[in-house]
Amino acid sequence: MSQSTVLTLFLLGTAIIAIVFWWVWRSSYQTASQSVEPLRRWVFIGLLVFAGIFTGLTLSRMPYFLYADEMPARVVHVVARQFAFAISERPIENDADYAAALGQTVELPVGQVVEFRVTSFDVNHGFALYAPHGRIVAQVQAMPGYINRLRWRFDQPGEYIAQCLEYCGAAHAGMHARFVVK
Amino acid sequence: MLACISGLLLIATGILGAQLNEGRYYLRRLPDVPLILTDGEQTSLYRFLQHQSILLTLFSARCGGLCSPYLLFLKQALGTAPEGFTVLALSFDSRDTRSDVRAMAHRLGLAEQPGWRWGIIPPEHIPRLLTTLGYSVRYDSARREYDHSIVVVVIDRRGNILRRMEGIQDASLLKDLVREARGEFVLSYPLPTTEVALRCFELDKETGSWRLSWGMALLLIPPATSFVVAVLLQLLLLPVRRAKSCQKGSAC
Amino acid sequence: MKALDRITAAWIVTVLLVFPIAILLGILMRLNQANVLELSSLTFYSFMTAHGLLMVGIWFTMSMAGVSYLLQRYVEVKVWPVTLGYVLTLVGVVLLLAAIFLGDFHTGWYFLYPLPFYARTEQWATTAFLLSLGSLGVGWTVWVLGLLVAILRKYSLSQALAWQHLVGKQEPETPPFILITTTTLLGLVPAFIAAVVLLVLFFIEHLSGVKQDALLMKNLTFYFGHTLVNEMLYFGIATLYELFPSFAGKPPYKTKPFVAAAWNLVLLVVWTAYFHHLYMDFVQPTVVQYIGQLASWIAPIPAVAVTTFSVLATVYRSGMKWWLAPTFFFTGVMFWIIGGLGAILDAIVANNFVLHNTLWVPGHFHTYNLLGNVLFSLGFITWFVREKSGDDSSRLYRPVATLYLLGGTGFVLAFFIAGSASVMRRVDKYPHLVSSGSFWALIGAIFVLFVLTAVLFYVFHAVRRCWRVLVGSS
Repeated sequence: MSQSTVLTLFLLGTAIIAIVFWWVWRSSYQTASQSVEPLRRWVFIGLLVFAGIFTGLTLSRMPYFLYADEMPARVVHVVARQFAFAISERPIENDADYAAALGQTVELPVGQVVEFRVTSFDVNHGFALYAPHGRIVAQVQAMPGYINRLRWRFDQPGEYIAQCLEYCGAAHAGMHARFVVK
Repeated sequence: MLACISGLLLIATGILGAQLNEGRYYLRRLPDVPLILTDGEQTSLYRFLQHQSILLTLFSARCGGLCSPYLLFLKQALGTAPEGFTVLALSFDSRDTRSDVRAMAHRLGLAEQPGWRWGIIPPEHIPRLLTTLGYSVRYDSARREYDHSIVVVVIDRRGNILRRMEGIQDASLLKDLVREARGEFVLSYPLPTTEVALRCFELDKETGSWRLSWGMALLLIPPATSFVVAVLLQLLLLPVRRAKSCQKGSAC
Repeated sequence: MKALDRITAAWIVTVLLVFPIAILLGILMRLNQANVLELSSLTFYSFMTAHGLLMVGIWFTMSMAGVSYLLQRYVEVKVWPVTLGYVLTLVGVVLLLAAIFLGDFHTGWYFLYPLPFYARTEQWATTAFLLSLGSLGVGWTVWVLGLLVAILRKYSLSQALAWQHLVGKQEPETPPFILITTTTLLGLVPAFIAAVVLLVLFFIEHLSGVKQDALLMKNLTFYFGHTLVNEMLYFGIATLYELFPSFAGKPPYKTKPFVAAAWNLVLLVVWTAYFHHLYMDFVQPTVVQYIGQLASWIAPIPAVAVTTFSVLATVYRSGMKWWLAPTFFFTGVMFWIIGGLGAILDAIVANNFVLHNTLWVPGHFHTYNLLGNVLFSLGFITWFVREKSGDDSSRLYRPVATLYLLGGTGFVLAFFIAGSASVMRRVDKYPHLVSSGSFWALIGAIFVLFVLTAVLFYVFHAVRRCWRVLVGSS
């Protein structure tokens, strides 16, 4: 689901909940008591069906195996460290590699699968990809001691920003890197 | 034998820190070299790969050092009939003939195993393959012995390197490679480090699946302790509850 | 129970005095993000750390204090665990504030490993911070065990968990309050033990330099952190079960089989809910991620079908008289499930992929804390004030309820909207990339000023009355 779909669903659900509560609150000014207990079973069954369908549908859209069957056209190595990303098509194994990759701007192909191999040299960081329209399209955590593989296909050319999304210290807000998709 | 094992250990420890190197080889495409297999089949690497993904390793039949123990290690770790991929063992030694290699396979008990194929490469093609694989070989004329890498590489059906493991690593890493050879996408993998005290999960040597490690056992301490606390309180306070119900005058 | 009155009043006074200060820290953070103020990064993140820990600390302890007070209706409650909890909490908070404001400790409430070892913090401040958590942990564990002992001195474990009602027996009767309190206390024990394990591992690295596994540490952090906040809400629900029917002039709730089943299910699955904090850690085994989403979706069903439905059924055509306490509980339930809706939408892994660590997250948890759990506790406090002073806060009813609810709604909406526009959480200044963040920060700050105004009125009113209980002059 896109962010705006989630927001719409949320606002819709909130409106329904608020209307139900408001209606019940209004009814409390009457005293003609009436048992609503039989309804409870149906509320329960309704919620169970709704939750089952909704979570069933979304489980198949887990991001963990995105493009798992395809061979990536490009592999990009990402190392996060307070407070910058080194992004390079060459492996980043040590401080010298990291320093060499800093400030480079990687160019990635549009419409082809790219694999990011993400890790951290110090603390936990986040690696979120912001598209030119300013929204997050994908993200993964950068955890020290582990390499996480994120595959993504960029359908829109332009300048992308990788922004740190896990609080990593005083200069966290400025931790980002730029790459170009064309 | 002792020298051999200590040599192995030396290399293994020396290489442990260099595993990140793997990234350098990822998706490199191997050259389509001709292969002459021990059963007489003449084919090429790409034709061989049409039917199976492979775990490739290199050796020399004349090697008195690491080759045999390493192949035995692979035999033990992968079994004689691995599922979903084939182990292809090729000689990097231009002097080796088909019968040399066959004799070696027999010695190791891997000659007629369904999951293992053995072969040689025409000498003029060997350097190309070794360069792509990042495989170093040096002949030490004083010892009359090779100084060479020990490597296993996962190759997909188009000849691309998917994973590469150098030296003798933690068995869990090898199983990680096996999963990849079977066509699974391995989402994440640990970097080798000797410093970490306890890990949550390790890859199971036997099944290639994740298993709990001692780190995870730490996660089980809280519920286990809570359970014990609850049961202890239940038992310790039993007399108090009995006394109370007696006071109320019900049957004791 | 004079002593229990006093310690409860002491909790109320303390919590209500800290609350506006913690709100103020939040407002300063929002104003800084709105570019109205210029705080240094270190100051901002120190405020962020203090705000999170103080808010969770005061409202967790307040909900515990409320439950401890009401528990005396059923069993004999010893005062010393509550008092010890109070003293050790004070010690912990003093150490905490020293670490944060004198030692620049600024790693966020969750001090995610290994950040404390990499942050620009005084060495002693990290030690003080860990000791502070130790003090809070010991205090709260003793308190939780004290309440458990009090319950188990009368009810056996199976009775306290209402297993006899599960199979349809009526006798002996377990009130819902006892059932919910017991499941919550039992759920808290492992969370505290997880914190102990986490702190021990931290200390090992602090003293010896042996590194830990970042994945293990993150699991432990949220095992303890998430579960604590989750259970805090259930204490609020226990209070609601105990007090709400009487507000509507109805008999107390009974433990029906489905109520017993729901809360036993909660006890079983509550510890799996924290998995959703690690969705974006691809190294966590995928099966755990599936369990995380399923548990996050199944767990709220009983909460809605049992608690929410019961509250609505109680109010429906009840002819009840509305005053501040029932209004707090009723609206608290509403926002609790609205916040829950925000939570389960984010608990879908496919959505979390674009919402994780955006302002959507503070959006949902402020909804069910500021507008849920805090209201449950304020409902209890309002009721307590009436019990002790006879004053039902009627002069405050309209202004406080209106300002608080209106301000709170606008405040959390600003989070949700900005979160869906990919504005990230936990940053002192918004990068150019998400410049709309500053606008929503300003909107949020303005709305929360309404909340602060309402809180100040309320605090002035309630603290004076509880102070009299505390010094014994009423």
